[in-house]
Amino acid sequence: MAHAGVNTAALELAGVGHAYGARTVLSGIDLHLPAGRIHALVGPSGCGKTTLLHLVAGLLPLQDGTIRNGFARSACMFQQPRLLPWKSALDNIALGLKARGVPRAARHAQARDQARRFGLDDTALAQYPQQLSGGMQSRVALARALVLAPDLLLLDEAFSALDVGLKAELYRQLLAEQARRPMGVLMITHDLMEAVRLAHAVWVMAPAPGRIATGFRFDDAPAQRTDAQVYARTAGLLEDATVRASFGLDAPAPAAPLALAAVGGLRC
Amino acid sequence: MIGVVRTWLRGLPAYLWGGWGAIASLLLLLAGWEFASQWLDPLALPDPRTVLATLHGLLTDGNAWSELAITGRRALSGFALSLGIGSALGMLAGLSMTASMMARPWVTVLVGTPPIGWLVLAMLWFGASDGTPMFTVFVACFPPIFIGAMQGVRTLDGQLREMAQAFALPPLQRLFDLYLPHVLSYLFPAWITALGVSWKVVVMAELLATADGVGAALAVTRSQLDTAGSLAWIVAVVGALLAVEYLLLEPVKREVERWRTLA
Ligand SMILES: Nc1ncnc2c1ncn2[C@@H]1O[C@H](COP(=O)(O)OP(=O)(O)O)[C@@H](O)[C@H]1O
Ligand SMILES: [Mg+2]
Repeated sequence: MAHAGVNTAALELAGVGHAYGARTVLSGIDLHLPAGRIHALVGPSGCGKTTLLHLVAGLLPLQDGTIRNGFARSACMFQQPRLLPWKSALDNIALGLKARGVPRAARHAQARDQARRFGLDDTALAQYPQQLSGGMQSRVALARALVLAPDLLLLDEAFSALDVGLKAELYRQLLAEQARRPMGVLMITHDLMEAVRLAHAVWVMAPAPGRIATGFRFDDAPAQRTDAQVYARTAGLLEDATVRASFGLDAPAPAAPLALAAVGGLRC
Repeated sequence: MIGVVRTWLRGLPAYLWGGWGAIASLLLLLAGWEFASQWLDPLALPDPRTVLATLHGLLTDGNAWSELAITGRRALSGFALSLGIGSALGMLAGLSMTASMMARPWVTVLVGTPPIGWLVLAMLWFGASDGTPMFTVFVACFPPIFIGAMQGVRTLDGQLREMAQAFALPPLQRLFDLYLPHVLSYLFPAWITALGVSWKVVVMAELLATADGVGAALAVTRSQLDTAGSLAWIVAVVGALLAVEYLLLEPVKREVERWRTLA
């Protein structure tokens, strides 16, 4: 595996490909994620997003291309909370710290701190995951990743199963954490609006085989973006012919195309 | 914490009620026995009071305790061997697809061989020593424990395994925080089954192979056509099994699986 460390803190993918048996699901993926930036990979279901994230996280052996991960610590959040049902919420949050050998008292204190910022009180922390609501479970899962103080955070459709209110809340918490302690974030989603709301750069993937079709930059701070801006940019992206083709939408929009640049987007 | 205590308190009446139900149904069984004994020759089926009096006599003159202790030692050491080796090997086999597929036929052979067959072999190998009942108990307890452990590992959620890998859990933490809690929910029922098997098999082994223990005492009462004595020993063995299961294994199981009942 080519997870060699480099000096500049960045995640660098070059020509990454992957095949399950004879079926190629990813080919020629190039990506550069600098420290402190949020990049989103969007694409239709089955285009190989999860596979790509697993390659970055080292959960799958690298077959093709190179991945240079210059970040010292990374952490993951998955689509499902994936909490241990036999551990309290507090112990679940502290799981990664325990794996690092942090003593019990210290890891519980850190986990409690992180949980407070996420609005989880002591009652919730003493409960088992199945006693918590879905939203609480997601917060525990995000806290479990962030308590590790990662400088690279990998999110795989982490918010897609939540209702709009919970999504908005977790977005806020993620961005607040990002403001407190900048980290590189690689987030995967099939939700274009989520990508436009959170990311500094949006990479659009096309399926069969999974590849990066196009990309857009948004240079303003994600926390400052208004709903109206997010809607306008999403609409702008959805009028792009390449984006439409990637998601299998029919022919480009007929009317005069909305200038994405006018709402702050630049094609990479 | 308060939530946990409250949930436990709420569950308590149901548990006690469950206990009363069990006791009531045992008393019903006793009543049926008493009823049947009125119609049968006391040589064939003495009434429960005679049997309990005989048991009381056996216990007060001190003999029964030492025989029970000998039998208990043999059953529990065979059981403990099986528990350790069967759980460890079963978990190892569960880790590998190939190993679990290879192990299945062996376990089927183990299950299919009657305990009496093992007993004869054990008598040839170990003679009249403790080794004979212990070995027989070990072999009889092994299959359910091995299968329970193997299935526990095989059924572990792949997503949780992936999560453990992503969070770089070291091997020991993976064992204690991931595999064991899940596997225990398969192992506990298997251990309880095996414990029951161990008591039955040890008495059978003693009956045929040793000069002391409850099984040997049963052989003596049988040769003297002492039905009340035989039943007294049987009641003693069953009582000891129930005590170990409900006073030891059940509470441990409840504690270990608290997370499950709070769902
Ligand atoms: N372990 C696997 N073995 C074989 N095929 C797989 C495996 N995992 C995913 N695939 C296939 O690879 C493709 C990409 O999957 P995935 O990376 O999960 O896509 P996405 O996350 O974008 O929905 C899908 O068609 C899926 O069926
Ligand atoms: Mg996916």
